[in-house]
Amino acid sequence: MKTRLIQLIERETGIQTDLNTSIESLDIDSLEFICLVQAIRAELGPIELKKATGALTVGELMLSIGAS
Amino acid sequence: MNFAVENWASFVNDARPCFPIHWEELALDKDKFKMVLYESRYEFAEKEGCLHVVTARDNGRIVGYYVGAILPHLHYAEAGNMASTDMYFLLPEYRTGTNGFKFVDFIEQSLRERGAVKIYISCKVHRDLQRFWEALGYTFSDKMFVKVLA
Repeated sequence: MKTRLIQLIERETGIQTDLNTSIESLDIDSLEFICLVQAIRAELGPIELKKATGALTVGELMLSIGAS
Repeated sequence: MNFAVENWASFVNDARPCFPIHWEELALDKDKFKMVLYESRYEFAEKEGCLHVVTARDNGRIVGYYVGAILPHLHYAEAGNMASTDMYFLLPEYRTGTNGFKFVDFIEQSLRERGAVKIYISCKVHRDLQRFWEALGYTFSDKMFVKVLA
């Protein structure tokens, strides 16, 4: 999961990341964030936008995947 | 960023630097319609208890705002108070990551706390935020048209 999420984020944003990378440093706007969440939902599993917006890091974003 | 419900007086003077940027980005028919706030009307609305102002501040500087009126809908009088949006704005450099979502989440919660049962909000066609609003659970319900008559 960790590897696939990092690969997805790097593909969607063009930015090299790890689990400690802050969401803010991805330098994406709200619409791009929506696209990212939709890509995660399509490829990695269910994720709620509301939970995703609470994530401060890529690691926290990963924890949002699949959580109900 | 910090979010807060504020009164009109604390908001309007601090927000003035944003207004020209807001107008430049969003206004139509700029040759006819300049952004000049009818401040006494906002003050009146506040005295009547129906004005709702939410700000986003960064180190004390206003970087975003939401202004709405909380009133019974004229033709859904028994449905409860509804939030009718007058204006909302976030400086472009703050539209990153999850800032917008967090701002809207705060706005919604603050409206709920004031008893609003529904919110009406729109966006300009030339700055189409449909995807943003729908991702937040809003329903695309109306198409609005304007025409300059004078």
